[in-house]
Amino acid sequence: MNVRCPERFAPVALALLVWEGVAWSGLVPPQYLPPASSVLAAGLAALADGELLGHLATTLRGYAQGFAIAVVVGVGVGLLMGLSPLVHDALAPTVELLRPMPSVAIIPLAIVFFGLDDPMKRVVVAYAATWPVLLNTLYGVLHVEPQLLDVARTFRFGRMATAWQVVLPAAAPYVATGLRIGSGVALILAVTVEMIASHSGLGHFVATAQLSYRVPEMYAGLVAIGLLGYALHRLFVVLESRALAWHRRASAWRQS
Amino acid sequence: MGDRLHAARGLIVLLALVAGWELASRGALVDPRLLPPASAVLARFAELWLSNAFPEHLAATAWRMALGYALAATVGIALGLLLGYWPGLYSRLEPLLELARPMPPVALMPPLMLFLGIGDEMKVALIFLGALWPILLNTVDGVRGVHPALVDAARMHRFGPRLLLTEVLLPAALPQLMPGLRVSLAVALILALVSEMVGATSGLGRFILLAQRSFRTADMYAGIVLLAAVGYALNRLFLLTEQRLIGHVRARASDAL
Repeated sequence: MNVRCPERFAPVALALLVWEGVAWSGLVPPQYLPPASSVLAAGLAALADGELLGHLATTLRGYAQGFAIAVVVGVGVGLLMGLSPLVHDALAPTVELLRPMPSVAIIPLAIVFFGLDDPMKRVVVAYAATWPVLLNTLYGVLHVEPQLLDVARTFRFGRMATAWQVVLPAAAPYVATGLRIGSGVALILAVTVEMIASHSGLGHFVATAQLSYRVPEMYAGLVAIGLLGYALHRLFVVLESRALAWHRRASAWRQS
Repeated sequence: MGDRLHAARGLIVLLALVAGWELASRGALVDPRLLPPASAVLARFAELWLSNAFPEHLAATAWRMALGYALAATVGIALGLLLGYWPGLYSRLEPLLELARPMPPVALMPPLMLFLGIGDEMKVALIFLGALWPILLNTVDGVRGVHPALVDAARMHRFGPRLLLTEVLLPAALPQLMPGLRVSLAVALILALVSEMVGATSGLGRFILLAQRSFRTADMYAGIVLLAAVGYALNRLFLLTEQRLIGHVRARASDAL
């Protein structure tokens, strides 16, 4: 891992150098693209006076609260739809009709009911992130091997025990994919809401910096959003491989 | 027979939801200023459609979206074929691509506004940049997953690089590429709407946000209904096209529904 690190970061460092060079060369007007070093300086200054951290905390809070709701609703409804044909039939047309609707369309609707505060952001983030979690859970449950269910029946597992101890673990890789995609969607919607209708958060920070021509601050905010996105993505990738190690071993054993 | 019964259950639930909406609003369970009755929204929808307001906004949104999406598909597939074909190039760029991928595309809007203003150029550029990633990365994965024997066979028959790309790699990568194209279609619509919400004189994104700000809630709901219909239609259209192109290859994830 450590041996590979320099190699992996070389292209990133090169890109930063190119950015710095382009900015200094005057190829791009500096009021549009300041050098990487002055963006770094602006970022450190915003970090030092706590402004950036405050906005970061707001964005993370909206993301986490909304995503938590999405996980509970998405996994719950996905499990129910996958396990009960009755629930599946009842909800399928509604899901099929609502899912392709662009999620940002509910931002004005959420504003009508919840104003411009945190609850509105939570609702929008939760709504958008629920779909990938729900659909991947449903797909995973529908693809549980029938033999596993037969075994559960043989051992007289009740419905709840079957759902929790057999179906959910077997569907775990699909659920994990849904969570990873849902997490990305949640961050996108949190930032979008902050840009369009909010008074704080990284999205708001970037948008106001642009409007007031504090260009280095704007890029610093952009970098912060990018790093946050990358960190969350890596977090889910690592959690996924840790949490599912047993699953890979189990499937390898089954196949051998 | 059985199928019809299954469909009926779902439709009953859907109709019950709409009826619940109508009754909740009429019975003032929910403030009708926040949630006008479904019938009022439907009537408003018809008016806006017949007065040409909806078709005009829809055309503005669709045009921006189509332009950005077409650019993203062209560049994404071409670049993806190249990166997938020359693995050395890909492994060198991979850390950068990995870093750029989880970036929420909406965050690129402020710098684009600096460079391009808030006109259509900025909107198309935003849609292009956001829709590019899923197409690009799926194309790369698809090309890298092509069986080496296929490539060897093409080489034996003295296929040039161009023929190899268009006749062997692209068709073989298609099943992997289609999900990328589908995700990007949804992304393109979302980014078109967001860019219109921030600043525009036309388009459905601007329409629904403006309707909310001026308390024309029936208009806002009508706009959201139209967007749901647009999303649904795009998805259906895409699935039909996919079926035509690679229907023989595999069953789809959407079969779960």
